[in-house]
Amino acid sequence: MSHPADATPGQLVAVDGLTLRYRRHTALAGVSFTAGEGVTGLLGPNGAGKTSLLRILATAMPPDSGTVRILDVDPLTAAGRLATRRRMGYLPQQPGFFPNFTAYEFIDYVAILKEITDRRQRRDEILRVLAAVGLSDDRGKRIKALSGGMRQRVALAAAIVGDPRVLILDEPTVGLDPEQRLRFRELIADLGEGRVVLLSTHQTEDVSALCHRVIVLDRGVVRFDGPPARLTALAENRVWHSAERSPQAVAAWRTGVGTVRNIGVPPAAADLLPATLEDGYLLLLDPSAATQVVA
Amino acid sequence: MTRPGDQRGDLRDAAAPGGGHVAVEVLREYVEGHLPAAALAGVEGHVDGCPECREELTRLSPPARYERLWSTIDQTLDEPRRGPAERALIWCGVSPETARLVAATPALRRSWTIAAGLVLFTAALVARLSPLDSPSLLLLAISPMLPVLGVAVSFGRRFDPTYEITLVAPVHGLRLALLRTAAVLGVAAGLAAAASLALPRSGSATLAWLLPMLALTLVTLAMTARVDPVVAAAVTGAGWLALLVATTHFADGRSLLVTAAGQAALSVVAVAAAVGLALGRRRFDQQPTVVLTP
Repeated sequence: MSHPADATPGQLVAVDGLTLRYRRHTALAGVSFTAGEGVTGLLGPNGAGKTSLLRILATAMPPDSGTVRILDVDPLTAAGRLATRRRMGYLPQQPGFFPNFTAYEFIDYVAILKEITDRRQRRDEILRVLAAVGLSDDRGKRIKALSGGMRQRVALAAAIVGDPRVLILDEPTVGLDPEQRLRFRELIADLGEGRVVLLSTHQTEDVSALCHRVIVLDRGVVRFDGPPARLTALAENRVWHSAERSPQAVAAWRTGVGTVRNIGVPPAAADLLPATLEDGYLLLLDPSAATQVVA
Repeated sequence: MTRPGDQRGDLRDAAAPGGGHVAVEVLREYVEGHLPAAALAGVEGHVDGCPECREELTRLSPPARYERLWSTIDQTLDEPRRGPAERALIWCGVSPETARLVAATPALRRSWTIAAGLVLFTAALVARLSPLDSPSLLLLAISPMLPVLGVAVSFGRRFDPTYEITLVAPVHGLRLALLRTAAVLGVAAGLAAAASLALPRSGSATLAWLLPMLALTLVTLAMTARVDPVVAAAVTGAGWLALLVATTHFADGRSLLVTAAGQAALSVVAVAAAVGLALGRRRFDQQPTVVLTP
């Protein structure tokens, strides 16, 4: 069988033409991309189809149509699904816990679900993943007594049980305070070495800080696929600051220093500003722009 | 070996007030576990109060052994505390890993078990006080619904907090579903059997709830392959009540379901549901594309 998603070396995850509909709502309208080692960011507004895409890749549900290849197997078949599950870690958007379990007990439960039946091996693995997320000293605390950031770390530890080659992280930094987010980015950047990490977010800072590659998804369509610097470059020479708001700007807001930051068409008497990834993202998603950039 | 300023005597000296220290040979025997039981208390008593002998003992003890001991203590402290159900399963020969998966069944939380027990004993009490000829009718109506409710709260996004990670785990969804269902069914059957004992004698009819309990649970489980567990439980429960009303002669409080023919029909339902479950097993491995939710 041959199809465009057949992985070439370095493309450990390949999807082609994925579609998914929920009753009247189209979640994915023909999504194709490939991903290799390192952290690939999936950026997009709420409802863009990020979670649906990641849930399909995580084998939680099948698409309506399209092909998927993960580490050279087809997870849409029963055998391929099992093989994929054995080599994949998944952090769901809303990770759930048994609140009365301790962090250690919960990871133990997950390790059993991941078929680590040897007691000694399981213990070594539990201690390894808890150390990796910095929870060694809190492993005896009940999950209900942990802070939101610590729970998120428990969920990440659960995802990396068994040292999976592919990690799927659905909005891992949501709900974290700035310091926790920074710590999480360090963790994820480390995990991206030698692994495929697919991470969804609606935080442009996460993408500029972490990803070597960004895919922008909007209403079920890939609108951009390339390095973050290229997304930033879309806004080059299009960000201005001025005393007044430009009526034609895609986005304009008064900043803390009193001047207005305008993206898009410059107002009268404006100075050019260096563009950020967020500027590029806002311009890309501007309905009047309707650009589609695929590297 | 002697240390400056002291003389190592034998054990009797060590135990005597003002005596010397425990002999190195004795300490070595202690470390190796060869010391006679009678001498243990004397040595331990002395070592407890003598820093020098403690130091000597530490020197004689292989560090690897203590690391092993420490890691065992550490592991014992970390590992899950097993509840009575889990211990009972392991005692019955179930692997500790499987027992852990069963023990994490959401319905087995104390609240469900207590509620189920209360409902059944209330039913038994009411039945005892009722003037009907067939006092087991109430128990027959209620018992099969308990595991059905238990199944409803053990699966699906709504009640299982770990739904999403369980769904994508390599352990097959149906295996986990069957384990959890068996656990819920076992507890419910045990409680119902206990409640039956509280009833006045009515012969084999007392245990007439057993087959419908099995049949209804299997029907609910088979339906969860296609619909939300809560919907499956509601449909099954409503169907059961309708069937009961249709087959009961209310003048004397007897149900056809208690007769041999009724029980045979229920067995057929149970077998049909089991076959349906086997046919739909693949659907337990992924979230169905369309889930009917209330």
